[in-house]
Amino acid sequence: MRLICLLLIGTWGLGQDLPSQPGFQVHDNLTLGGWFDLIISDSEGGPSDQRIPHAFVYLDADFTSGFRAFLEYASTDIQGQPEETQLQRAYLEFKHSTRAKWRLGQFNTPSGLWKEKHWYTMVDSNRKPAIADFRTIPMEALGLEFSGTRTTAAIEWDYSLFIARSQDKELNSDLGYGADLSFSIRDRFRFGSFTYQFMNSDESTDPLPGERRALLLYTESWLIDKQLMFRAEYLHMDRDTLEPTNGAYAKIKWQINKKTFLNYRFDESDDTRTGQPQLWQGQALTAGYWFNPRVRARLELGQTRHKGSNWRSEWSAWVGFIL
Amino acid sequence: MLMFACLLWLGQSDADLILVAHPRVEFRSITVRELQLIYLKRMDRLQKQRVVPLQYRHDHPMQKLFERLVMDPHFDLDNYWYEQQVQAGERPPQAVPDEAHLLVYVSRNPGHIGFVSAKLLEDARGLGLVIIPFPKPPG
Repeated sequence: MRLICLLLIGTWGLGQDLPSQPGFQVHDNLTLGGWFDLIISDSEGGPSDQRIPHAFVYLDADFTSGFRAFLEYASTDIQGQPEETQLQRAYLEFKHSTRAKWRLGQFNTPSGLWKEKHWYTMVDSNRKPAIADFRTIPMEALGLEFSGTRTTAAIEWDYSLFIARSQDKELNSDLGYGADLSFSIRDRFRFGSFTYQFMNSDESTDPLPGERRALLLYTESWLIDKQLMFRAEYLHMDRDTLEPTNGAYAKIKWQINKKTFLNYRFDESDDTRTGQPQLWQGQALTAGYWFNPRVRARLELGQTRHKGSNWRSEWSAWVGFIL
Repeated sequence: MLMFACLLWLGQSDADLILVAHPRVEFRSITVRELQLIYLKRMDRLQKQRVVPLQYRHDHPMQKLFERLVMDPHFDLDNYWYEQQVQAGERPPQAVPDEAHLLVYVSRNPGHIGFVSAKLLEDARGLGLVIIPFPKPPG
């Protein structure tokens, strides 16, 4: 039933004259929006024709004088498992200017370039890079964040400081703190780093609790009239009770035109999920087509392996609709 | 009312644009980069003064011309605002239906700037607006 709904919404979305912004204005300052998506994948030696639909709904109240409230719920329905609904984001925001913005509540951890929570609709591949997939950094934070952007003639600085407790159900933690700082030169080259220190004392989510320190370094370059993009992120994680772990990915994206792109990514990481000593490796070639800002699709051939063993291939097709 | 009708008639289309700003705005020049950042809402102060951009609806010819002159050729502005809204709750600049509305709106709201056809230069002056030359795109 949900698939039928998705297809109906998608068909409707393809034929729409788009407004300049998503969502429905339910009141002057109140927007109701959301997005739905579906991944169909078929992997060698794994479950075939697996379908994973996601649905997100948000309510955005934009008050005067820079105050805003945001609430978002998500639902995931994996075949053979009970449907799961959870609070994604719920915060109050005060924006003094682009240089100073405060958020109080549950927000996404501001870490690097890969924005975990919206990878479904925003990113260039169907499979997450290992540094995000292996859940080494909590992605949902409950606390206070200060962020902003400062611009000069050639350089743009983005900064974020936060103190928060992880709300990630797979990686719970006590209060931690972190910062993300990056700068971009003429919108062509971006360099940044993210650091996060937190204590994981919840044995139900981690059999080896202790203090953890994450350092993420990242860079991004846009070349040839911004048609070619190169990006890399490297994550180093120190853990009190375990060996440090490392992971990284590099990708190149060719934006053929406004609607079409090709993306290739290679990633390599210590396998913190299964604990196998060999490095985990993955690569993915993705073709994407944005019918319009509202309707998007991707087709991907991915391969994964532990270093030294054979590659395992996976085909996946993804379609997403923003309301 | 008569002036409003004249503005509507005059403000059809012209390849030359000028920037208009509220009478209390103190800056008199702007770069393409600054214009980009202001219209992407990544900058809201210029020479320590608050700046609020005003634009046209996304299918308006003036809007398309502005985007062609200011934004990078492969930059998808519609997509940018969809993603900004979904990720950060940031909305695009307020949009007006035509140049007449833009001139009147800018004249009444401190800090606001917009762009109109150069044909409307005298009308903008008549409303007391600050006229800023449209920056030349690099190259």
